Amino acid sequence: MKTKIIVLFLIILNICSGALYALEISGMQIMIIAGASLKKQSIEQGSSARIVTYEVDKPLDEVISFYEAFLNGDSFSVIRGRQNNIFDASVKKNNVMFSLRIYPDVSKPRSSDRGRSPSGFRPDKAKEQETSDLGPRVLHSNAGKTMIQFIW
Amino acid sequence: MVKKLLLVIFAFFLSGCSTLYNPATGRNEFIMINSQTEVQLGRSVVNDFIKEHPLVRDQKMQERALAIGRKVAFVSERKDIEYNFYVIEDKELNASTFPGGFIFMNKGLMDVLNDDELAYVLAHEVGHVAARHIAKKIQSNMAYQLLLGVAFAGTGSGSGENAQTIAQGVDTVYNLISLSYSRKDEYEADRLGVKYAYLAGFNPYGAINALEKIKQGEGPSWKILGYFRTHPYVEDRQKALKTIIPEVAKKK
Ligand SMILES: [Zn+2]
Repeated sequence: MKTKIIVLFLIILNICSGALYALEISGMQIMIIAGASLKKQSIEQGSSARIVTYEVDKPLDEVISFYEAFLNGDSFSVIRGRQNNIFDASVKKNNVMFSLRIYPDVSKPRSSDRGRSPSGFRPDKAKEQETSDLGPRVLHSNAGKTMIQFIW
Repeated sequence: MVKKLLLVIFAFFLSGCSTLYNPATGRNEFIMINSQTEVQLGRSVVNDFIKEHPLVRDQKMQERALAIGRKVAFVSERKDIEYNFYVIEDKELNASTFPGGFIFMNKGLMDVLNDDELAYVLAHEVGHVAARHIAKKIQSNMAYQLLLGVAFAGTGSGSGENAQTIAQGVDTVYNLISLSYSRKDEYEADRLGVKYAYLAGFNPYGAINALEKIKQGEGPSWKILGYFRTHPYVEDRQKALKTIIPEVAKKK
């Protein structure tokens, strides 16, 4: 009951703070957090998986909390989830299944990252995160920008 | 020209994706399924596999595979999954590795290999898992919805519904597992295998002996049967191992 109220609150907050829109995955509407813009769409050859990536100018933690509340409140089954400050989950509800990843944007290194590799990732640091999927992406994020990726 | 264009498309594709730094390969890679999903996918297929392939009852043999397997897995770069090692009743000289680190040795292989040789064979399989060769093979060749369906069946939340679809998905994973690894994957798994075996305290030259023993044991049709059907390019690998082993041993 409590989580449903939180989800409702988040939805209302989302509507109030900007245009609400949703992504349709196998006939199900998945809410896209307010302020997010579509960054990229592609189809993976072989698996025919559709990959849709959004970018939002909000802190990573806020975006992860938003989607955690959404998935919990709507009773999705989840494999994995938040780990090492990123969110990486396979989710399922009825016959609708997809993967959701939320991670910091590292496409343009911050000014403090000068001298590092173009992707903003340092193998020496990445090794510290070796048990983490998406490990190095966690280390040097563009301040504030968060990526939301759906795969289905 | 076509190759160049493909490279550009590939780079563009990657630019919008979350990539994973894989410490085993030293590369940033795009892996669609997280580790737990890979484990659930493997569990689902293994549940089916062991119905057809009973485990050896000889507890000492199981313990030997487990003890050596755990030693080589312990030094691998991929630690976000738990590796499982089992021996099945099968005389063929072969090993099967499923997504998520489920590694099955045939009894036939256990009977002919000494500990150093077995360490290499197990470590080579761990190398395929750590380098995510299996996950990549599956994600590139299997419908993503089918893949997720099989993975959720492994958690129990998919059972009961779409049993036929799940069975089809399990079959697809079987087929993909039984496809040969590429030359590049084989070299990589050998390099990792030798490294893990050496770091775990085994004689890395066991690799050369193991391949020779399997070749001898398989008889004239060794290229198309058993172990070398899924792990091919053996002559080239044997040559490469002679260079790899001293390099690996020097690095410690
Ligand atoms: Zn191999």
